[in-house]
Amino acid sequence: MNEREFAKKVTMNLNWGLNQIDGHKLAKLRAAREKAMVNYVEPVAVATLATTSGQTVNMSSWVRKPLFWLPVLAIVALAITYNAADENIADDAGGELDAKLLTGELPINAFLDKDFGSWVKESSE
Amino acid sequence: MSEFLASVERRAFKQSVFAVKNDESALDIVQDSMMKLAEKYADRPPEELPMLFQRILQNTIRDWYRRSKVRSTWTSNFSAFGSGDEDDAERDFLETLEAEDTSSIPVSPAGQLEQAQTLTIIEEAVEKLPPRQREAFMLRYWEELDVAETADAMGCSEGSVKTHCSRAVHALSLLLRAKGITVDTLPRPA
Repeated sequence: MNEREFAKKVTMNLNWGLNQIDGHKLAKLRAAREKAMVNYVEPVAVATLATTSGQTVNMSSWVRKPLFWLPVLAIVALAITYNAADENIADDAGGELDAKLLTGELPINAFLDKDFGSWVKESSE
Repeated sequence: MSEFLASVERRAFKQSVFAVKNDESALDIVQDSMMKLAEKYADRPPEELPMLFQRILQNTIRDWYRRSKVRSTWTSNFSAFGSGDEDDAERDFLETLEAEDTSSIPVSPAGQLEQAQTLTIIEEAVEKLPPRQREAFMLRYWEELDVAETADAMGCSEGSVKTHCSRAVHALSLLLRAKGITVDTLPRPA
């Protein structure tokens, strides 16, 4: 016996039976559907990309996939690392000035500048 | 969403009736399933809706079974009656029907009546299937989900789906044959 053929014949009969459902129950089904649709909110696409073939790709389904977020997280992590390294370099420059001030190696003119501005500029050149 | 629900509501109702054998409960199950789909899965693409709806529907039917089991436990504590023999007696009224060996569309009143009687026998046979076999048969062949989608909706492996479907077809053919209907004599309605 062919399983698919048998199943198809059975479901054809079941489909015919769908038209035999009485009007009262159909009305209740329609009311149930309308009640469900009261709480339905039409989805808004997050973004749409245009592909090279001229078609559009809905981004909202991509956003839900975990793999979509991996590159985004990688970029954020890189940005944080770069920012932290930059702050370390700035700290090093300030530390060098402090060391010279403490050991008395600064020239007298440096003390006359407000915030050692001119001396820092000259020494960096 | 509304169009999708309209396209599946009758089959969902009949599936629920086969499972719970009560029209009012079946209507409640369909309504609950529709509301859950509309509320929680509004943002899903249309191609995912059939599988999602079936998963919700089958879960809601299972919830109904659980609640009904709890209710019947309480009822049996208070009463020794209502063993379900009435349901069995109701099913026994079915007569053996030899369907016409034809694929023609029954247009005459006699043909329509015969078709209705055959449908009753088929629906009774579907009702008698074990729940998981019926679920697999309905999803795979009536809802036309593929094996993977059926497995997802049923929460089981693809292998189990194939086994349930095969057993369901075998059981159905035996039940129908007992009523005088074979795969060759099954009518092909419009």
